[in-house]
Amino acid sequence: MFHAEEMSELSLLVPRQDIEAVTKAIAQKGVLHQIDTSYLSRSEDGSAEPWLDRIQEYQGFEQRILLMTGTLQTSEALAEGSDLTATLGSAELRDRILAIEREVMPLVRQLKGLEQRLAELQILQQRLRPLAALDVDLASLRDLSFLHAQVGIIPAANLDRFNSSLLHVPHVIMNLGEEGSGTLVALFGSARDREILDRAANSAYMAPISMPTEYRGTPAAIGRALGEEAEQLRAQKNALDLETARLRDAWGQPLAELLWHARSDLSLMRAAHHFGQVRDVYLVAGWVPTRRLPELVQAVRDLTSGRVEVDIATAEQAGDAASVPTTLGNRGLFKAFQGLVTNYAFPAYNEIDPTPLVAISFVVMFGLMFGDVGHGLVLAAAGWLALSGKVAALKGARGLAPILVAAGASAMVFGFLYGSIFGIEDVLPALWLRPLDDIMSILLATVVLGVGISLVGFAANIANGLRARDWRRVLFDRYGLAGLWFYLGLLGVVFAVATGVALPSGLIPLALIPPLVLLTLGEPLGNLINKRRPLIHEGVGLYLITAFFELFEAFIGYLSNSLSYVRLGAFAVAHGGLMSVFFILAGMMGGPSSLLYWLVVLVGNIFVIGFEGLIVGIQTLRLEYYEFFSKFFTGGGLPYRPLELSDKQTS
Amino acid sequence: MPWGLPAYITPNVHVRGMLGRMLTAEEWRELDGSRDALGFLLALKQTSYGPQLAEFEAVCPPCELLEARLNANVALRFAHIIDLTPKADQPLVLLLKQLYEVDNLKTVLRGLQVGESAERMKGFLFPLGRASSLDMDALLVARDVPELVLRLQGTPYGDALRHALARFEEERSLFPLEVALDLDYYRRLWRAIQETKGDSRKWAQQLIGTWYDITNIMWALRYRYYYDKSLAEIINYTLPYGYRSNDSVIRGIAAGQEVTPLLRQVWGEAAPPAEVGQPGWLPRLEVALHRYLDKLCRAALTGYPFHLGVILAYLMQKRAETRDLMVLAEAKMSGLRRPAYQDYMVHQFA
Repeated sequence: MFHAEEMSELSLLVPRQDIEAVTKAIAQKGVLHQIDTSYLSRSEDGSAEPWLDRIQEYQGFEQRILLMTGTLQTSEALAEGSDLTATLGSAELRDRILAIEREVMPLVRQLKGLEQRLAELQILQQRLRPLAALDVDLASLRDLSFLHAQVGIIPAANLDRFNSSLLHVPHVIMNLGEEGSGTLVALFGSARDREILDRAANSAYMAPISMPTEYRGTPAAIGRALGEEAEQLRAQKNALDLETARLRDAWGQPLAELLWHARSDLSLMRAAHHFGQVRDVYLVAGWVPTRRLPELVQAVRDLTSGRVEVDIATAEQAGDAASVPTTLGNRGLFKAFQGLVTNYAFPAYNEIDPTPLVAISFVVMFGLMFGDVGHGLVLAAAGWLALSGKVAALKGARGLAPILVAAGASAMVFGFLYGSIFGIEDVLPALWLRPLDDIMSILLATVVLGVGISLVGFAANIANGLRARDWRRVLFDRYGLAGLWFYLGLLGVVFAVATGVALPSGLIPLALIPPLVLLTLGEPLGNLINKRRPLIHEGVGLYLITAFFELFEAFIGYLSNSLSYVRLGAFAVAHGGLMSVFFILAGMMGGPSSLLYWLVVLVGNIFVIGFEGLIVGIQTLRLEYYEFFSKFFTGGGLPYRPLELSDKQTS
Repeated sequence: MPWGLPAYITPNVHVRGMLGRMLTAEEWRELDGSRDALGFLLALKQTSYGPQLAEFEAVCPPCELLEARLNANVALRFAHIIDLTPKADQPLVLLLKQLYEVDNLKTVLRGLQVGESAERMKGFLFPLGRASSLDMDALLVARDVPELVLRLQGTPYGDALRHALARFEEERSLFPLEVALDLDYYRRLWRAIQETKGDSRKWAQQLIGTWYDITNIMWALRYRYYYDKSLAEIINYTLPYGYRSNDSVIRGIAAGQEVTPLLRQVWGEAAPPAEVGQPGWLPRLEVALHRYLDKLCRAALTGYPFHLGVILAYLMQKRAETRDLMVLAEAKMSGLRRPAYQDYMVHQFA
């Protein structure tokens, strides 16, 4: 549950005649995360070319099909019962596409021609829009004898500089208004300065607004003419609708099937492009979940009658743990929390997947801060509705729905413990305590919880160090055993001081000094154990100064990390306090018999559920990311993405 | 407690450590003394750049690849420094790193212009990591320059490039796009300097402001003497503000006034003479100005240490160091001797 699935590195030496069949078989199994070995087949200029021609050919097929499906607006989904077992060679694929093109392309060309002209008209209309208020014949600006005029859009940031660049040249710049991130301006100057003005305008990135010479008159008149032409074109386009529908019915499915074939083959070729090739042999390498390895190897051997050489290495034998992809095997509720973890970083292969820890701690911390039976019920119900997919507005939140249900349920449990329902504190008995009445207890309880979560963080860091055989991390890291020793010692001292317990003399130095020494000498000791030299890189003096400040930072970190969890209690208190404020406001509107009273209570509940719910969610995430993850979670893992037959557009 | 102390204790300690990993005079001598490109590579592998050069054994890689590997070293340091920089000053340091993002965009633009493959272009890009506002993989699949500009819409570079695209399509030259990128970047950088507060602002103005002045003045000189641009064009292709420079200096250059007195207006007696018309005068002048900036950086690294200036000075020096290494690498590849390249390096051999 806490670790990624065990992976093995598979290397196959495949003869050239088998490579396509083997690639297809691997893709059908969908278990191999490919390793790029194309460096083996790179030519002198550093590029791996063998498959590029075929990739380009199939990209061409894909584009030609997409042009037709796009114009006919056919669905890319395959009908039930589509037969996709046949393998189409490139010649057959080309012939089938050609046959459909003969039928469809005349219409496509006609429609594209109309669309292109409409797009041109739209651009002309857009160019004219800023000039709409000008009551000037645009043609007359082109034919001036003594003046030079130019209308255009200049980046707003360049305008002042442009003006000052013409300091010694007679000119006028009229600001005609804002246009996106630019400013619409009209530049006027003497015709004899035309070249200076044009070069200045050009260097200030002024984009001239020009109209084709066939259009004359004021901008408004030209706009009307453009509009009329666009209307005529749209009418012509609508007249082609019947023919489009006929071709869509006739060719929609064949096109979808051809598209599937083209894309599947394309994804195989793209994979093959990354295989290494030496003469007539390909090296296919990748990571496979160890439990799926036998079936893949068997399939490849059966297919090639044993012509393939197989080599298997474990992740440890392969050496570079950073290159091993990670599979996260979380299921059910834990799966929903996986997104919160990967949003921070993707777990590396040899480190703990913190998702289950996050799932549990998130739910507990959220409930602790948001404890209210009624509010929890509303959140859980909203989550359940989103999960059911019955409410269209909540469909976008489907991924978060399980988290919402779990957080709501936790809030309900804590609601019973606090005796609070919709902010009403005198209906339910408090099974544990009422935060508003017992502030110190709840604050202390949350610090204890924080210490507990921190200890889990220490344990996870030590476990990660052991798994990576990083002894420095296990022994001398601030969150390793030395750090744990110091942290527990510190906790003991704080506890003794707070409770007045007298500690035996000598216990405090024993609890604090040895771990401090180990932490200070962590780098040289770690290098000593790992047999690395030099023991200290930056000179003893500089090392000791850095170590001192890092130790100081660690000390502050231990304290602030633990105390940071006080916010759990503070929010629990604030939750109750905020609701009591709304009840006071409601009381000012009249007693419970008044409608206004209940209106204010309702608004208060909505506000607290929405606004405070959001803040509590953010605070919980903050505690997870900054206080918890920072102790052990490095991330930087590679998600496991097996090679599969793809029918998605991959270009 | 002196101002800046709490925020800059740790950064200062780490920057001192990183300064200790910059090339020493001895290492520079080793590099300078190497007989050829391979000797240079082997000497460089013995320095703090070694880990990034591990893959090269018997042959010195081409310049672009070597530069990409040196940049990987710079990127490592940058990532560390951004983490260390106090929150209030982080935007400025992030923006400094974005200069490499601008360089990356120029690389992609040039690659697309000559039909370079995405895979090859990717090898030359500065590894920006999380400081990048761009998804370079998504940009590299662009088939041509207009598509790249389209894909950049909504990013900090979208507007500037969109306005310049019409000129690119008309002139089929990347010049307008690259100038638009530069102007837009330096405008944002100037705003970021103005938004820093207190002591940080003083250091940002002094160090980045000087670099800013040098860049702006060098632009004006190039447009005037290399590209033969008109006065109005030079004004439009430069910026009106600076730390010690100002618009009148730029106008003076654009109008063809004598350069040395104009430089003196900005930097007084510290201004190097401009030998206009002499072979290689412009690159030499640029190096001389960067040596002046290097002195300011060294000054920032002495005295009271807990301020932004320490970080900025290190970053400036690191940039100058990699630039110098590239000059040296090219010189070694071309079999040149020290007198031929010394004037083009900020580092001065004893």
